[in-house]
Amino acid sequence: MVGLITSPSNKTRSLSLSSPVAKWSLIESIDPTPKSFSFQYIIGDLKKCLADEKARYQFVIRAGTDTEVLWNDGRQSKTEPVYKRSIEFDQNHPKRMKQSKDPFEAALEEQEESPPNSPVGEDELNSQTPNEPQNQTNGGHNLLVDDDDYDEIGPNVKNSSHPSSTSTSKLHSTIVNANVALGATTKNKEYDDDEEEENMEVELSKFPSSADPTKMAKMQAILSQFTEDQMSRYESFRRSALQRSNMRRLLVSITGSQKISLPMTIVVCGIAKMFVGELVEKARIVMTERKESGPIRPCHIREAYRRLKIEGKVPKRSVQRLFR
Amino acid sequence: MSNPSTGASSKSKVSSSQPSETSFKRKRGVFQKDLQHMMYGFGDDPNPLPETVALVEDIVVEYVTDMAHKAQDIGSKRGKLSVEDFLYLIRKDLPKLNRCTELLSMQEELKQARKAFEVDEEKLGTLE
Repeated sequence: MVGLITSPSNKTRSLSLSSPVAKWSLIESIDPTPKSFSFQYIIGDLKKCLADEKARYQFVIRAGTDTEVLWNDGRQSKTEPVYKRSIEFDQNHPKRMKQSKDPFEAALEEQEESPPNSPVGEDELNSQTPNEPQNQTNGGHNLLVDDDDYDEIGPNVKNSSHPSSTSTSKLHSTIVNANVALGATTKNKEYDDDEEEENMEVELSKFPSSADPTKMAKMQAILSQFTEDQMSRYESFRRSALQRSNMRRLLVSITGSQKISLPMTIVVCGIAKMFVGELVEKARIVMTERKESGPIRPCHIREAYRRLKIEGKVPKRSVQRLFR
Repeated sequence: MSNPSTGASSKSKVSSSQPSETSFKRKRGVFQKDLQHMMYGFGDDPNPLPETVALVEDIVVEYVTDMAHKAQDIGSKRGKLSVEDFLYLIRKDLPKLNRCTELLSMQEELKQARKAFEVDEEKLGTLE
């Protein structure tokens, strides 16, 4: 069970207790005029809870963006950590961590769960408390930063009696702090994801690829097995290209128009390169048919060109060129 | 329609055996260096024969010329020459068509990347 203690002060300090006492105080705080809520005798009860001999109480500390749930062991004046979480504020709404339901509703929900065991039988606890945030949906945490809502004051009692609290200068109200943390991180994660996606997109486009992981994997497997000779040939194949400036000049001289766009130049260079590839490969086939070896000779190229013409891969001239 | 184009092509192309006197002389060996590497990549010797390279260059220039003329014919119906005309011409040749679409999309991506890169640099500049 978790309770919420509120105070009219603006200071953000709070203490949540799991106890029947807290339940009572919770009901009190549902009062529509919380500012009139008396805080005095809660302190007394708190003292009693914190000093409990049977160590039946947990408390929550919130300092900045860190949240901890700890068992309070009054006998030995020490605490046992149960749950710890850091949250981040949503970048879009710096005043809010996440939107969700009323904190009191969340507290009521939590109360319905059975109270965890004290440190004596603590094994269940560790599994239970982390489950709480998962079971519940976004716990209300508007209290945290909204100035309109009730802020909490953690009693100074707590500060004096617990060494763990000395590290905290500011305490925020937390009922389902773990829930909040969970919600906040998910929301923040979305924001981060967007940012990451953007960055990733930029990076990916700087290295454009076929974007097919299986293909890439196959290529990697093949490439790793290349001999040096094959590797250098493959490198030449990939890196060689016709110069765009020369191609542009040629196109301008052919078409007579100065408006040759960049995509057009790129496309024509690509087409021409593939055409050269077809020529050379077919010339090699001709050579193997003729059982010749060595560098490719013009006669092979001419034969290859003739065959390509027959196949229809070379555009036919509408008018025969009479004078060469 | 075809006469001016043939006229232009005959002016722009000059045979290497005859010394040219027209002003539209096409230089020899425009693509020679690139073609050497390209032919090696496609299966030729690491040092292809110069006459082979010259012949291939001639064939390529003729190929590009014919393509450009045909594209112009198609484009003239629309009004001006555009990339789609070239893509239309190679529509039957699937490897070429796929390669061209890939090149175009890559170019778009690079453009976007450069834009984003410049924007980032601006941001960094203003921050600093």
